[in-house]
Amino acid sequence: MIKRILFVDDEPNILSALRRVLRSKRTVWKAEFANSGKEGLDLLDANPFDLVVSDMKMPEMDGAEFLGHVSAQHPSSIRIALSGHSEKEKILKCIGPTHQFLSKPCEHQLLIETIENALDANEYVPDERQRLLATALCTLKTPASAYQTLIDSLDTNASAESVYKTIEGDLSLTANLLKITNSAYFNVNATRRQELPTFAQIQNLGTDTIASLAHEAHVIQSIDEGSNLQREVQELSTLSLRIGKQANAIARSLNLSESEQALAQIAGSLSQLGPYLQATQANPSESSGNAKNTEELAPEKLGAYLLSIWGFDSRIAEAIAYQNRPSESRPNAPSALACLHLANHFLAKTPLDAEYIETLALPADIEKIKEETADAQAVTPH
Amino acid sequence: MRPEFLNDSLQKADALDGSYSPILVLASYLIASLAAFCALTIARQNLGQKQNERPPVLWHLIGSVTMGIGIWSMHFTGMIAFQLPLPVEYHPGMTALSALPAIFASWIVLRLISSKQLQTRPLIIGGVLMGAGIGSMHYSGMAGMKINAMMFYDPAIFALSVIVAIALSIVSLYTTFKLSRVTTYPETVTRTFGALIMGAAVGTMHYTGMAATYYFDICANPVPIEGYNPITFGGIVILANLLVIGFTTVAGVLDFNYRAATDHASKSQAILSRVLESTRQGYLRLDRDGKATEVNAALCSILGREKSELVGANPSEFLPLEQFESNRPIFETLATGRYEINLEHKSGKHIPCLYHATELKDRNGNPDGLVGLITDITELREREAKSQEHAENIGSLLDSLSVGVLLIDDSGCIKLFNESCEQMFGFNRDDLIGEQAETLICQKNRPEFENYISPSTPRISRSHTIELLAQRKDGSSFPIEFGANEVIIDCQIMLACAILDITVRIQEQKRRRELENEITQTSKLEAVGQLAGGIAHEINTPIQFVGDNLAYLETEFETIIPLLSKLNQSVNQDSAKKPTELDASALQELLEPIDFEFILSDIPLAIEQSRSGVKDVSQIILAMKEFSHPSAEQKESYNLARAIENTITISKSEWKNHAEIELKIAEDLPEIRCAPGAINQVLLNIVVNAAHAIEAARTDTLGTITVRAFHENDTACIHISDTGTGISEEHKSKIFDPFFTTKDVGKGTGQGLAIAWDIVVKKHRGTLEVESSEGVGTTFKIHLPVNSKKTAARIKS
Repeated sequence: MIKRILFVDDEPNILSALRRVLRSKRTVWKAEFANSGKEGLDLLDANPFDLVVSDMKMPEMDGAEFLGHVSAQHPSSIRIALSGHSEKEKILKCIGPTHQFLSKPCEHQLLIETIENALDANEYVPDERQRLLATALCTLKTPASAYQTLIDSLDTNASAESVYKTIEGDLSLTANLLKITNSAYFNVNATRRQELPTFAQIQNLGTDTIASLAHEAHVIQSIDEGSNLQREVQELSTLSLRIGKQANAIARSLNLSESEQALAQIAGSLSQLGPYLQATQANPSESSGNAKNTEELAPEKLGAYLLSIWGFDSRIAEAIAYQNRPSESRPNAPSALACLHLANHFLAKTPLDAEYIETLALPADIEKIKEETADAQAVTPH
Repeated sequence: MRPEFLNDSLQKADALDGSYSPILVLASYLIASLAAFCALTIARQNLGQKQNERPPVLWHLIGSVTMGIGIWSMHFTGMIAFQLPLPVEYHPGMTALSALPAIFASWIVLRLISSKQLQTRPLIIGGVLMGAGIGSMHYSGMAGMKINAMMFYDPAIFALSVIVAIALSIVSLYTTFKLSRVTTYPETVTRTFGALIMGAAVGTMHYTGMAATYYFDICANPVPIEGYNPITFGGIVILANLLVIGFTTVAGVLDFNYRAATDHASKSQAILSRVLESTRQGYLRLDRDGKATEVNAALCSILGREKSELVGANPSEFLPLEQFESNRPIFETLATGRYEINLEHKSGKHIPCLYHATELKDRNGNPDGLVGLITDITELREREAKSQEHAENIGSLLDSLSVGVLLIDDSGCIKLFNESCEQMFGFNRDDLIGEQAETLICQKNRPEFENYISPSTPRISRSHTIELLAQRKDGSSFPIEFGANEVIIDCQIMLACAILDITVRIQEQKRRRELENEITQTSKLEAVGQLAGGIAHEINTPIQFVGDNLAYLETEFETIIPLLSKLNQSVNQDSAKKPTELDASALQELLEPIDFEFILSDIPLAIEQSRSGVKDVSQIILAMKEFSHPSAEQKESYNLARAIENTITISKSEWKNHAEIELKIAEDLPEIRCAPGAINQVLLNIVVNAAHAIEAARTDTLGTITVRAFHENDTACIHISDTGTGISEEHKSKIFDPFFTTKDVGKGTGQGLAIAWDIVVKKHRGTLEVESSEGVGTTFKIHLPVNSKKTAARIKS
């Protein structure tokens, strides 16, 4: 099935050049080009698009406004910003409705790869209506208590450390901020796919940026204090954090490379993103009553999908997607996926995927790994 | 001729009976009183005499004679009133002589009542003498009586008559004396009263004497009576009385004149004494012996003593004589000149006084004591001390001022030089007082200084201060602010000058200027920094599509390479031989992947677009380079048209999405001498503001920024108009104020226009005006002077 992609830019030379470099993909993608936000909306109204790439700085209707309209009117479209902006404020302004942020000048390969990755994520959640839960999302909701703690520690000029601890302890804050640090703007080398997301990147944002984001009501939405939902999501946050630490410990125990260790850590920390999203977000399509026809969706797949369209490293999405049934993925050498799977088993008592364990030839070591990583929660990972 | 007293042989009953004519008795009394009155009146002439002056003997003599004759007349009137049954005659010699004791007695009376004091002893002696005189007169008068009878005296009554005469004399003297001095009755009344008493004294004595006289008709040897008979004698007595009345009249007239005179004198005296008592000036009268005779209340109060302590005292008791000049006799010293002395108050306190004396002379020109006037000058001294203190205070006030204070007279001489001046200039004030003020000023500023302080310079031109370079003693110079005001001191017009060392101020001004430059520079960097994002965007866009186009060309070229290689191969390898026919099928195969139609039309387009992209980038970078001219301060010849174009280029990202630019640059726009960096900044600020104003207006269509530049009257004019929001009346006056901004926090520092104004108006002596209408738009008008000469010269060269 040919994917429909819309490019919006006020500079015709950009569009012509894009048209030229995308000729090679003309068999898989149907690219359309609009010279302004208004024209883009007209095209969207006429036909749905799987993905929209928009310039930010445009006369009359700028990119942020345009993508805002897209997110409201055509929530199923994946939205990518391609901007020459170099000002942080302007980028943060459109961070909500934008899934990914690419910076001009952008190598065409990177652009193509990014689009491909986002579109390929459909395999995690084949049902478009179920995907809507992720695509319609602007920002993950945060429990009011965590939000208040963050605001307080920011307003009282508490140490940066306590700010980061609050963020780290909350899944939604971690995910939201990682989405921002994952954007091209914050990458040192904008022409290359970025490094793995880490907590350190959040720290690199600086508390000022975090404060300005936190005070923007649309960036962080809170969950009411004392509700069942709040308790539920707090448990998910705690579990994620623990799994992250455990997975990291397992990776070390398995003598995996440092990047694999980090990958295991971050994948573990975001492992409960799917359940979190399901718990906090009402799916607009379900409310219309069509939900019954759809196949029950494994929540971790939804998390993987969200991270994919946010442009996170595909290995993270993969680890999360198959954390409970790793044998569904392409079995290979021990990886972040294996670590996450084991961590889940240790902490959340999820059943082991015997087939997978066999493939990796790990059965004998499981008890040993468990012992070795018993003190994982006490160790502060980095 | 001795009086003969009664003896046993004579019986009082045998004595002749005499009878008195009551009218004549009364007349006799009146005559005595009249005479006394007359004498007293005459005697008053003495009272009018100055003190210590001898009473005129003549007046006393006249008075005595008058009274004496009066007494005498009284006696004989009394005698005539006495009728004896025998003819009586009077012996002329004896009768005349009998007046003498009366005159003598009168003399005594007048002397006594004329004297200042009447002490007991003189009173008694006087009374005795007077009584004796009257008695003598009576009995000698009696002795002059020629009668053919024997006259005997009853010794008891005789003695009584003498005692009565003496006693009454004393009483009358005392009474008369007291009446004239003590009572407050009119003087005439007291005199009349005194005269009546005296008359009574004389009369009583006479009739007592008469009562002692007994006549016996036992003349053994009658002698012929030779003398005046009573009728003749009565005439004599009447004549004598007339004489008394005549004297009295004369005395009355004299008295009237005298009284007129003395009234006046006493009035003057009263005024004088009132003045002396009320004045605050001490008054001292010394008599010729150097004794204090009079002092007034003021002197008493100065000395803190009672009047009684001072009167009669020696001046050495209360005047510090050692403070007077001592080489002359003390009286002479006290009598002349002025002295400043310290009197000692009774309490021991010293009172500074001014002593001023006048010597008195009597009418004969002999020294008659002196009058000294003593003025308490305590207050004067205090005032002097105060004004001295005041002057010292002003002096120390002037010295405490941090401002240098100078007083210059109309010839430019320094009259006063305060401590600040000393410190400022390193001069001692004594070195400079009297010197020319211009010594303080550096040579090159002297004409200006001279002109400023010159008396001929109108006052108005000193209404502002001037800045000068001053010169210290050591020759080093420093900047001062100098101001002067005319003042009148001791009737001389002088200049009171204030000098402020403004070294620090000048340094601060310099620092501030440097700081301003720094701010200008910072704000320029800031403006450029803000633009940098936009400029990056402007560069990123062409880079994006140039990069994409190159990638595309690369891809397309890769598809062409096999075909080209094949062609190359077939042409070159077989060049030795004749070219073989091209393998059509092979070529077809190679042509297959090539979308020939597409690349034929598209590759030139891609190349053209890329070139235009590269051109855009170069243009922006060139504009950046030119715009970021390093010299924000140094002036050089600058092409304004180019400046405007550069500004438009680098600010493109600011206006591109909101406005179109209309450039109307006149061809004759001259180069001007300016600081290019600064002018660029002005243009950029205003263009960016225009773009923001249009953005803020939020219209659906693009606005317009019009830049007009033209040459007019040696002025280069740049008018930048926008179709933005305009400036409200309220804000119009503030837009050039530093830190004033209507933009959101982070969007503007409020420095842009303030700096623009500074650059155009202060640094380039141009003008920067704004015309704005809310909702319509704003026009900024920059007018910069063209230095035509230099520019012309530059163009020629």
